[in-house]
Amino acid sequence: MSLDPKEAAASLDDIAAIERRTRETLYYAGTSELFILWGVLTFIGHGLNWLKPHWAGWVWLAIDIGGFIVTVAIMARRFPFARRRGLNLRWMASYLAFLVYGFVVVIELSPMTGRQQQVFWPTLVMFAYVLAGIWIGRFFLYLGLAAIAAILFGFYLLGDWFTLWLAIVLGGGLIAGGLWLRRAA
Amino acid sequence: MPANEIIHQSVRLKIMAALNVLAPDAYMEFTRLKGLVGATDGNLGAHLDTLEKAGYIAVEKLFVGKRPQTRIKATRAGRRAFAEHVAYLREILDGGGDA
Repeated sequence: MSLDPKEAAASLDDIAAIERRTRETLYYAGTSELFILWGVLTFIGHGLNWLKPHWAGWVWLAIDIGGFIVTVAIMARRFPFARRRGLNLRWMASYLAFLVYGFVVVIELSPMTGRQQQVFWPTLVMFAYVLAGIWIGRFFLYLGLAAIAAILFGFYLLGDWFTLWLAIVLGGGLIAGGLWLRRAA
Repeated sequence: MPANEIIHQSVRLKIMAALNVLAPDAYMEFTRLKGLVGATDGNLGAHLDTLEKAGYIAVEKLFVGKRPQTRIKATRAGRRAFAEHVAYLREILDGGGDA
């Protein structure tokens, strides 16, 4: 059996298309786990903040470290093709760059109140979602914009209920987004 | 180097391309593969049989809770055969093939 260049080109196009679709599907499936993970952690973090405000520093330190470790594990398991291409490392480097930027801003603008930090960190993370949405898919863009709007709404209008609002709306929104991505994958 | 007639068939080529993206020991669920390849249950099942008999894929049937699940992975021989077939296709485009 021999093929002409036209058939060979068509087959290679088919292969490239199915590889791209497979990666997209795997990204959606893997990302859904990350959304659910951070939704649960966000709910727990802000929920504890609301119940025990003076624990905030330790709660978020534990959540950030634990969340980062589980995120790395999920990415290594779910995105093996990205690992081969070094993409996971770039995602992690981007994540760390945002984190460092956040700390620099907090230090530069200190003293920031707990409430100001509560609006700063989630909007910074959601801004990263907006950027990711521009590159990966509109879902991330819309989720980021909606979350930023919800955070600012709570910050300006909900007074003492702001922390609980973050737990329910931000945490719940991420969990709902994760479940939607799981169905779409 | 001749074309691999088992892999070259359109649906089987897509199956191997999709499975080849996974990590070496990772499986893909039948329903997800069906969606990616765009085949019916029966059609996909027939092509999977052909690939399994050639030793290119491994099919595992198990229960998740009470629901039966079929999942598939490319074997080492399957990945090698797929890589050789892709190399053959590229060789044709580069003008070094037997066409």
